[in-house]
Amino acid sequence: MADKRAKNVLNRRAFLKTTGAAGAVVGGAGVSMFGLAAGKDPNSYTGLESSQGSAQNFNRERFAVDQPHYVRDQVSQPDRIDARTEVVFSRFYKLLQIWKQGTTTLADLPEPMQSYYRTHTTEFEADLHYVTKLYPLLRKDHKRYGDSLTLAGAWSDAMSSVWPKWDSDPPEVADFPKVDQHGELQAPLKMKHPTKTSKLIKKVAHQMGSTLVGITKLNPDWVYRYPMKRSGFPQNEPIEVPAHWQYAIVVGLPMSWDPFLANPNYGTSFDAYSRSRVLAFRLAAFIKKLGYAARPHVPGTDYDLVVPPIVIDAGLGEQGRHSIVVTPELGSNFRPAVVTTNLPLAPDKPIEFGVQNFCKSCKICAENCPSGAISTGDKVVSRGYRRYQLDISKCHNFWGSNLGPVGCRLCVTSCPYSRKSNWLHRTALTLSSNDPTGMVDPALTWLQKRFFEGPEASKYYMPSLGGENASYREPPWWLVAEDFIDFKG
Amino acid sequence: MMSFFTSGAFWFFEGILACLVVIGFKIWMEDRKVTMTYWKWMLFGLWLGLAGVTLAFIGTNLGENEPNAAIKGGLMLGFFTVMLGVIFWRLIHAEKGLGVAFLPFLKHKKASKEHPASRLGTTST
Repeated sequence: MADKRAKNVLNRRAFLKTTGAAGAVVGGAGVSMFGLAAGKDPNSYTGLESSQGSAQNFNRERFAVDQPHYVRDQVSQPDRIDARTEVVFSRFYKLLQIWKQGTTTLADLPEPMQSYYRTHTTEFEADLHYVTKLYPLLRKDHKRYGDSLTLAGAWSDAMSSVWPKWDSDPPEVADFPKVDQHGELQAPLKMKHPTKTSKLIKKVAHQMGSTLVGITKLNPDWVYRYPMKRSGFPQNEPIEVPAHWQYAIVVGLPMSWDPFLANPNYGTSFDAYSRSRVLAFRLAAFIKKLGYAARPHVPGTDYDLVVPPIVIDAGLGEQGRHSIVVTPELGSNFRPAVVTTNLPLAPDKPIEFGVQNFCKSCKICAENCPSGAISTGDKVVSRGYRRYQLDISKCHNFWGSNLGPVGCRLCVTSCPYSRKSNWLHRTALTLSSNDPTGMVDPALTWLQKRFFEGPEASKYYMPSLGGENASYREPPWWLVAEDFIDFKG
Repeated sequence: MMSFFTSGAFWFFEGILACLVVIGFKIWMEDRKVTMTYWKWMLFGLWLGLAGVTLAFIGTNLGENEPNAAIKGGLMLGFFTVMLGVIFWRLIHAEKGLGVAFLPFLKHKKASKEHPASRLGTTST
């Protein structure tokens, strides 16, 4: 009897041991499946999943600082930008247009382009090189190799097709409420408190589809010295910052993640810009209905502000080595728009969550940049601030000679912060932003370079320039043109 | 189907499995005449966590279509998991004399468990 009981006890123990071992196997398989699901999960496509503001989920208060990080690096009063010439989008397409009409010498160019190019010979040579050499090559290569990018082009065109009507009146008129259909003009409503108004504006912006929203007092240094083309300001007169541009509300969202990972060929900046454009116009309309002035500023063409420092002022992120603002939630994959207003608001505080330190050692964007426009060196003084200087001409000449939708965005794609929101990348972000020793960043960079490497930078070039027209990652199935279009037929 | 694995129900299920693993391990160690102290349980928990992270890392990168990261990271984390597994195993079995003589506190602890009478050269009844 006793032996039998002993045998039973032994069996029970053996059973529990076997169950434990089986539990370990099943549990391990379950954790693997959890990982697989987390990697595939559509909810990790941060920023596009919700209009309830749930994607703005980084604890900014913990990293709030009184002044933005760039103030530490200020060495003199900044020069405001002449948007007619210093913004590459303004001067370049004008030059291309003029050149197509047969202009061949610098002396034939109109002012202020002529004066600009006379004092910026490097920019002139680079722009000229594009117009005379790269552009014809691009057209040639596009005819030979462009078929596979047909759907990417269609996607980009579709995303850029919605442009709200721009009011070309001067800001003193265009920014203010107009008489409604009943012939009445809305006087400014008395808002209870700026903090409550800020909460309302943020909620409304999220509801309109903005992933991130931040508010700051507008620093006049960030307003262009001369305006962009469509702004309603007189073209050749310096901008006097309108008195009603008191606050800046920053809104925006990411580019779709799958095409974005297949940059430079399959992503498109219009994807996010068109959406941030629409929501900036909507937010401006909402504010005007409350009786206050509001003006949308929407890159890449319709804005009179340097947007990145305003995004930093509004507490949404820090500027990275590639000159683009890195946000905690979306990394560099954030396309902002700004609404300037006189609606009394409570500004947010800037944040510092470790980007300055991380970018110092990371340099992945610079190593992946095909044009060599991103510096691997230290910060240099430019426009009154010590900062990482992007060589805009080099950058533009590459993304203007890329076979895919206009642009490159490889620095944004390869940035280690630009990752989907799942346990793995959020853990890395938490470790990096909370590390007091400075040891985590080099370790994460080391892992990033070995685990998530892309093609060699030279392979991104179009075939005529010795490249392979490579993409950072494979395109999503719905942009593979050969699978849907019979090009031989 | 995949959404189950990111749900709360999945982690409830994983919790039950973890309990089974702990019970099974406890009995296994008892059979091996190993006394599980708190720090041994901590080592066991640590190793279990590391093994879980390794598997989840591989799965997540495969899910993100990053096979290179899955393979390299899996090999690296897998190596650490195995190495730590061996070290922890030896530490857990230290009282059986399977090694770690270089950790004097374990020896000291072992001595303290002896009956004081043994110091007199007598045997207890």
